Amino acid sequence: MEKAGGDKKRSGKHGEGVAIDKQFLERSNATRYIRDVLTKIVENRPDDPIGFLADYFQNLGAQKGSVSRACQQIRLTHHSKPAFHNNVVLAYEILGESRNPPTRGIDGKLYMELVTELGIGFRQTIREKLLKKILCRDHEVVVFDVFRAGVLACVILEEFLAEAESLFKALDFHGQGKVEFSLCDAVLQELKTSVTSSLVQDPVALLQTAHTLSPSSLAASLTTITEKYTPAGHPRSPMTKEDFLATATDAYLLAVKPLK
Amino acid sequence: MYVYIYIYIYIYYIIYILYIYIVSEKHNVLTYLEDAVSQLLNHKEDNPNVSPSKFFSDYFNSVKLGNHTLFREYAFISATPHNRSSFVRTFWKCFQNIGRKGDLLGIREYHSLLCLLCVDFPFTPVQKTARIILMDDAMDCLISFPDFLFAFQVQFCFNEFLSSCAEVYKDLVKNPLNPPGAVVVPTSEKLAAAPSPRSSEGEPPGVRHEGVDSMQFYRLLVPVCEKLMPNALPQSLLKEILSAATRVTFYGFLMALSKNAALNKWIGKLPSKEKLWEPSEKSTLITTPSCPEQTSSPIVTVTAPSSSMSAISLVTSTQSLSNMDEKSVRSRLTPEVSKELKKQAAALTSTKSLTNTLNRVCNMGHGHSDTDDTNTDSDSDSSTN
Repeated sequence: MEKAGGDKKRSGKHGEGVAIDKQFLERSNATRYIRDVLTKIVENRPDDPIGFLADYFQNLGAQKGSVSRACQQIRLTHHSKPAFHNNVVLAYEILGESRNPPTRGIDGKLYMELVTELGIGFRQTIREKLLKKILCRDHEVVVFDVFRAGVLACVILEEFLAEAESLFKALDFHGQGKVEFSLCDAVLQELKTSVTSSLVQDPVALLQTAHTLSPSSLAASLTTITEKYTPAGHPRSPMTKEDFLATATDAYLLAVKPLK
Repeated sequence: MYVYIYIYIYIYYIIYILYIYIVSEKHNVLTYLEDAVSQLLNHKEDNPNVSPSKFFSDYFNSVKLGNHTLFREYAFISATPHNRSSFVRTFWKCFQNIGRKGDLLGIREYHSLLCLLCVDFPFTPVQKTARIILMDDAMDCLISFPDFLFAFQVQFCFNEFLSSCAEVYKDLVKNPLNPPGAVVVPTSEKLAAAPSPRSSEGEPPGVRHEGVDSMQFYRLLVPVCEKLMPNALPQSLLKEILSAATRVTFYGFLMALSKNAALNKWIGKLPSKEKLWEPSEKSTLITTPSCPEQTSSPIVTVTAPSSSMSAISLVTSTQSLSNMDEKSVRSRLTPEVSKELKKQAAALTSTKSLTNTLNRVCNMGHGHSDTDDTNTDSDSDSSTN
C-alpha cells in the first residue's frame, strides 16, 4: 500500500524498479518502521498524528537509554485513554529488559530514575515532595502495581499543576503575578476539600466535588470568604504563583497513597 | 469454537482497517506516509546510504512546521488542507518583500511567482483569485500583494467549496426560494419572468444585480459545508459573514471571506493584515484599483508601464527568493531536506523555466497573452519531466 507512490517516476523496466525498491525498503527497515508507526497511531489515536509521527521518528533516530525510552512510551498517549495501560506495561518491560541479566521485574533504583525523568518538568520543591511520597528504596523489588501507581501519580500531577496554574491566572486578573492571600486561601481550601472528598468511592461525593469546583460555586464561596476576611483579617502578604502551586501540590499529595 | 475465534479476529481486523481509513481521511496520515516513502525512494537514487529513520524524522518535522511544500508538484501541494495553507504561507514568506515595497502586479506576474515555487501551478486558481478582487471585470488591473495574498488563500484553500458555492448561488439566482411563510401561487408568467434577469448564462453574477437573500444562501450552503468538511470553512464563521447584510452577491461574499480576519485566524498560517510585514516598520498598504468603475479605457494606460515595472519587480522578487533560500529557509530546515531543496532549485533554474517566466512577463505588454499561457504549460510540463 505505502510502496505505491515510490515507483511513479520509474521509467523503462517498471517491474524491475518496483522489485529493487521493495528490496531497498525491506533491507533498510523502512517497511518495518512504517508498519510499526501505523500500529502505534491506531493504538494511541493521537489528536495530532503529524506531530506524533514527527516525534516518533525523531525518537527512533536518537540513541537513548532505556529510561528515556520507557518515559517516551508512557508519554505516547494521555493517561485517560485505554492505550495508556498497555504503554505502562511496555515501559515496565523495557526497563526490565535493560537490566543485566534481563529480568521481568525492576528494582527501586530504575523505578526512581524513571519517576525522576517523568517529573523533570516540575519545580525542584514540587519534585522533591512528590518523590518523597512515592519513594522506593534502591534494592526493593518494584511490582507492576506499584510501578503503575507511581507513574500515574506523576502524569496526573502534571495535569493537576497545569490546571492549578490556569486557576491562578484566572485569579490574577490584574496580571501582576501576585494575588491577595485571602483569595488564594479560599480557592486552595476548596481544592483541598474536593480532592480529599473525592477519595471516597461514592458517585454522589464525586458529583458534589464537581459542583463545588464549578465556576459559579467557586465564585460564591469566594465572595463569602472575602467578605468575611476583609473586616477582621490581618494583612498577609500576597501569594505568588510558586507558593500557590506548592500549596496545591500539598493538597494533591494528600490524595496519593504513600507506598510504605 | 475455533470458528468463533476466527470470526472475532476477522471483525477486529475490519475495525482496524476502518480506523485506518478514518484517520487517513481526517488527518491524511496515509497521504503523508505514502509521500514520505516515495520521497525516500527518490532520495535513495542520489544517496544510497540514506538512513530511513533520519529521513522520515526530517520529513515529518518539515511537514509539522509547514516547510514541506516548497518546490513540490501541484498535485501534492493541493492534496491536503494542511499542504494548501502551508503553501500559502511559503508564498508569503518568499515574496513578502514585494508587498513591503508596495509594488502592484498583474495576475500573470503573480502566476509566474507561484510557478517559481511550484513548477506546474495552473493558471485557473490565480484567475479565480483575480475575480475575487476585481469583481469579475477589469482582469488586467494591477493588484497589491496583501489583497492578492488573502484572496489567494481563500481561493486556494477552499477551491472545491467555492465552486460548490458558485453552483448553489447560480441555482438560487435562477430560482429564488419563496420567503418562509409567504404563499405564492406560481403562474406561468412568473415562471417565465423569473430566469429572465439572469438570461446571459455565461456571464457570472456581478455587482449590477442585487444578489440573493443571504440567509437563504447560508441555509443552502450548510449541507455543502457538511459534505466537504475538512476542505470547507466552519459553519459559525460562514453564518457570521453572511449575516452581515441581508442580501449578498457572489463576489461580495468571496470578498468578505478574503477580508475576514477570523477566517484567517482559523486557517492559522498567515498573520493578520496589519502584521504582514512585522519585521519592518514600513507599512505601505496600497489600495487596489478594484473599483468596478475602472473600465477598459484607463487600463490601456496602466498596462503600458506594467511590463517594464513588473519585469523589474520580478527580478527583485526572484532575488528575494534566492536570498530566502540561502538564509532563512535553510536555517529552518534540517540539512538533509535543505540539500534536497537546493538540488531541486538548481534543477528548476537549469530547466530554463526562470528565463521563460521572465520572457513571458516581458512579452506580456505586447499582447501575447493567450499563446503565452499555452507556452508556459508546455514549459512546465517539460521541466517536470
